[in-house]
Amino acid sequence: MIDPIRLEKLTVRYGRTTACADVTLAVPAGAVYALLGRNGAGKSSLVRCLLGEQRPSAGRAFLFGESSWKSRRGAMARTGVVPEDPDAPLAMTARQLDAFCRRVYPRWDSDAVAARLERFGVPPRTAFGRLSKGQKGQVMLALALGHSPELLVLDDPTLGLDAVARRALFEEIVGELADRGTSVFLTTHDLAGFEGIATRVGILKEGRLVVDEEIEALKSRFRRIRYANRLTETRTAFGTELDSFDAPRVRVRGWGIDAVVSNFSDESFERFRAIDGVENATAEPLSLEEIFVAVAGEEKGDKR
Amino acid sequence: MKGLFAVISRELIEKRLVLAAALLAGLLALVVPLAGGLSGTSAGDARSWTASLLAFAFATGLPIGLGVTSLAPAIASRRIGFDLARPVSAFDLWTGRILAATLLAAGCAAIVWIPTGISGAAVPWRDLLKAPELPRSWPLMFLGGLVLLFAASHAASIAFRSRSALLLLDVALALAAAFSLSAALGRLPLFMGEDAHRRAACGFAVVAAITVLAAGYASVSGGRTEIRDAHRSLSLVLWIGLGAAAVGVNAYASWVLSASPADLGDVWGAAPAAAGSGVIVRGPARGTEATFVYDTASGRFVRARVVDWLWPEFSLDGRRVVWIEGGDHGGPFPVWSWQVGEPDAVRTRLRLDGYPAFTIPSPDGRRLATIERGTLSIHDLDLATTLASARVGGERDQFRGFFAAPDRFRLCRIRADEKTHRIDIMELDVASRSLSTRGSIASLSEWVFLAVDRSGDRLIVRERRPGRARLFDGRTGDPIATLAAGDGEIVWLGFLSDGRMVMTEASDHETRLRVFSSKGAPERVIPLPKGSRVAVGGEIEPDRIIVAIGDDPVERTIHVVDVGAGEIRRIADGLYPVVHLAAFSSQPNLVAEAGSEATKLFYDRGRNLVRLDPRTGERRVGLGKGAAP
Repeated sequence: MIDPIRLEKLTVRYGRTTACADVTLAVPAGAVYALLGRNGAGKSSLVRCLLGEQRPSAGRAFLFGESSWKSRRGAMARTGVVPEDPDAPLAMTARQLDAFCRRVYPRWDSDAVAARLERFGVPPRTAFGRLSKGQKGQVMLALALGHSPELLVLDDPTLGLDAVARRALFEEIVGELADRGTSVFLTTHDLAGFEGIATRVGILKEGRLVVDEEIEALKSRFRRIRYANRLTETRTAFGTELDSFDAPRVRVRGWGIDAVVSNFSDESFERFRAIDGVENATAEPLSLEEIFVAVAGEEKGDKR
Repeated sequence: MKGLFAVISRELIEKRLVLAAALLAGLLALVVPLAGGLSGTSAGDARSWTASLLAFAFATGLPIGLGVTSLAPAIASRRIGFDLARPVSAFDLWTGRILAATLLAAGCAAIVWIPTGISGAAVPWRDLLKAPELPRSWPLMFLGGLVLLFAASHAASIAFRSRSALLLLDVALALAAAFSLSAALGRLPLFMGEDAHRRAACGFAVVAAITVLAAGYASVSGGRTEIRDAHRSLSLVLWIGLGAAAVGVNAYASWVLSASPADLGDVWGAAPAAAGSGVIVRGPARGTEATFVYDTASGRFVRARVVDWLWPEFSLDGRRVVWIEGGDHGGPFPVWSWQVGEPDAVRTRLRLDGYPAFTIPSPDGRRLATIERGTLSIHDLDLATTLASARVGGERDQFRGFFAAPDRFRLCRIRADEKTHRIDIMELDVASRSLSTRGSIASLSEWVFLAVDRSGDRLIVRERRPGRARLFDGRTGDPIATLAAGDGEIVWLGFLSDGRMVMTEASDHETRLRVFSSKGAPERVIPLPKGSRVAVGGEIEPDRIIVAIGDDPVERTIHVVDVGAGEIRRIADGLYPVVHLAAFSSQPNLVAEAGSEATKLFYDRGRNLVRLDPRTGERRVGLGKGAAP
């Protein structure tokens, strides 16, 4: 089965600045892929390339097996897009936008659009430019789902939304997923909101994809390890006790060491606890947000 | 097409307020006369002019405004992403916006006019619309113009919004294209043929229009949400297209200007040298009016860029030809000279401020006589100086002249009074720089024609009424003899190479050729075959002349008349001689030598230049579309 999304060594440069470099990933059908990254990590550039809105500097982006640059029009008939900034024509009302979309999509469900807008509470006869930011996002989502897309691409869809609007958006996406198994590719800062939805996660750091795996696997290998450190220079494990883990973040606290490790396993942890000088060691699972902060938030701390 | 119509209708809905603005403008035009206190016809005129100006402003302003603000800002701000996220092609986006802008502009212009039209005011430019010069397709051209306004404005908007150094390259390339086009059109002056000029200009305009449209499409298709990519794509297409158009126009100009005598479609006219193998031919070649000086012996030729009424002139020996190069924007005009058979013509240092009434080279071709605004001047071509100059008459006088000697130019000034004509014979002496009147022939009735023998010593004047021809001393104007004619009309007369004269005379029932001695005494009368038209051609050998007879202006039966023996021999049909026993040029003594190549040249019905061997009757098309490749 063809993956709805496939990126091959995708690179985007602006002059001497590289927005993303050699990004390779695939989103299988039915997956919900959350691409995370700090501001300026290259997420939006990647999304534009993915949607055929921007030509990559190198590499290729495929939607449904076709080059998204060359076959944008065909791919867009199967894809719904919610952009970071709602970009519909400002003078058009939701109803007029619906009429426009009805003309350009091979199949279009105006009733479904109207129903969603009603659920969201968006006035259908108000010009898009006069709607609130949340309402604009909701109109964009309603339009993105109007043709029952096989793939939904959401570029930070909750940015600037209040809690109610965010919840409505999540419900809509969850409903879509439950009803039709739509593939979703999203970029977001709202990690908590999507944590329960996403099945796979990618993390962009300075333009490079440093994480790309199933969210359960990711969460199972990340732990926060805390321990009191009684290691001295006379002990053989001095300065190397965390070496069996890959620790992207290590902090020295007054009570001991607070480390985030990325290849946790119960066996390794038992061996770690047995090290002479490591005392009161505990391992706690991490939320997606904590993992993201650990991976993308900071450089590795000093290991003493 | 669904996408295209969707984009058009969305644009119309989005910009619908301009239609209301147009209606308001139309109402404004209605009330303008009230504000000015006008009534009646003045009020109607004020309304219609105001409505016209406002309609024009909407028609041109909207495409420009929408071109600047429609797509380029959407690309720069990435708001075009809304469209790109739909199954709408870049072509639909570009074309849809163009068509919508055009519809809005045309619609607004019409709406502005509605209130004024209802009020009954007349369209002020009604006459303009009815002008025959206005192409019938003007509404389409007008709409095309609106489309181009949008596309050009879009291109400019993209270029400026990208804030890229590419803009400097754009400016440089625009200047280069303009310079190249101007240079190419400059090489195809209007006076040589408006057709070629128009074809080049229209060709460039069409390619440029298509290129601007294609470049706009490329900016959307290749740029999408990246304004600099859009600018790059636009510039790439724009400058490849315009560059190709500029190269094309230059190539076309080179192709047109590289035409040879073999490219002449018709031979509109030919003027062979009196001696030698040179001939001037003129006709349409590759879209221009081409004038070639052609050496039939060597096949070499030069193209003379002359205005159609001032042909190159051969020297008497046929070895040198001189012409004034024409120009579209006034003088000074350079003088060119060609030694017949040489590889190239020479642009002399001599320049003339205006087009002279005539240009006559000296027998050796080194001097040139001109008359410009009634002043006769003798120039030295090598030194580019004026050797002598004298006022010889006014604008209404006619002049014929020739170099009687290298240092003396003899001029016949024909001056028409109310009832009579007179010929004043003058000489300008170059050495003494003095002009002297040597004689006059006065009390001529309606003057028609004069001919001078090769030496210039004798002169024949023919008056239409009372239908007589008289022989005068060409130096003094003293009468020598009256050439007695019968009751017919004198048609042709001229000098034979041995000094005798021939005259053709036609009446209702017969045509005759009369031969006179060098002193004007009648020698022989030769009846000619019947024909309403008769023309005397060249002297193919001493005593034998060509006579063309027939009823058609061009297709005549060609006879050789032996004026010594009085015999007539028919040698060809369907031709007309190029040269005659009398010169029609400004040089009245420039008559083809007996047996010269010029006497064997004829026109045929197809406006080809034909060489006819009078001995064998063999004919060969030399130039024109009927010529063998």
